[in-house]
Amino acid sequence: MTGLFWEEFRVGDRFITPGRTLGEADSVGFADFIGDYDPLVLDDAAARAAGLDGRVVHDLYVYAVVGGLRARLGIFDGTGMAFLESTWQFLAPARFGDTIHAEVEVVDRKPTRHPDRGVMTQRIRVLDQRGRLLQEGMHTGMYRRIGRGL
Amino acid sequence: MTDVRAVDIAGTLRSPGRTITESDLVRFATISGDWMPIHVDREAAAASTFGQRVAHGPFVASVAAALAQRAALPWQQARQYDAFEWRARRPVLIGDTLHVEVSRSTEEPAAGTVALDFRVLNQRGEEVGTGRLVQRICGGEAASR
Repeated sequence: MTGLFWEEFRVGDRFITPGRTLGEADSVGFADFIGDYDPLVLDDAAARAAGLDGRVVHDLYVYAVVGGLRARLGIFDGTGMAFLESTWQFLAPARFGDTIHAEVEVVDRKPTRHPDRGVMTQRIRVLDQRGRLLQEGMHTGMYRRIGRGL
Repeated sequence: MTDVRAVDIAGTLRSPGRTITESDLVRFATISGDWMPIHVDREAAAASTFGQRVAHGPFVASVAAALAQRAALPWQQARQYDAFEWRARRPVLIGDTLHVEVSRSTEEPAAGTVALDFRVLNQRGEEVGTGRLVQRICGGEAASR
């Protein structure tokens, strides 16, 4: 399956990703995998001492899952060329059992000096099952243009 | 207040290194659900701009954030992510060894935050990317957001 080319995206286009429920083992496994041992993610006593009612989901695990949910939209298959930049805000932690999805909106498109590729920026909002905004950010990437082959 | 190691603009804190393996790429695909061919299909990636599989951007960004914290924050310090910026400069390929240099650490006691400015270098000393990580240092109310 082939995704959309740079020309086929328009500023204002919006896409809604599939959802995913966040599990405890996934969050802990992610912290171990990247080597970020935040006590609020791994140590229940430390989380309670910090005023929470237990551990929270690793914030970067949510960020990583959003990347996967975006990929599953299929619109970048074969046309997404490179990750350029990400600017991200973490507004609230997710809890085990929360189900997240992301809203992706095209906010900017720029050609490059290369005729086979263009830059595109998307605003990404990450929401839980109650519609609460957990994370929000901008993602900029390089995308293939029409007629230049895959 | 916190035990953040002070860094002036002239000095840097260097993290330990991490070699990015083929296993890392497959594991990140498994965890995130991003199975785009550029990351996991050797044959398709051979025909791409980079000529081989490249590490997922969010994976490199996550490893960079983890290494920056290992270089600059005490491991037992509870904190939450507040903001993160990452600008990729070069692809990360299987077999590359990355380390992070934290060039500045700025504590803002009023906001309860610590900001780390860092860059990521590969084994050839090439800059892979630059970033800024802002975290809320937790104790009491800061944790409840």
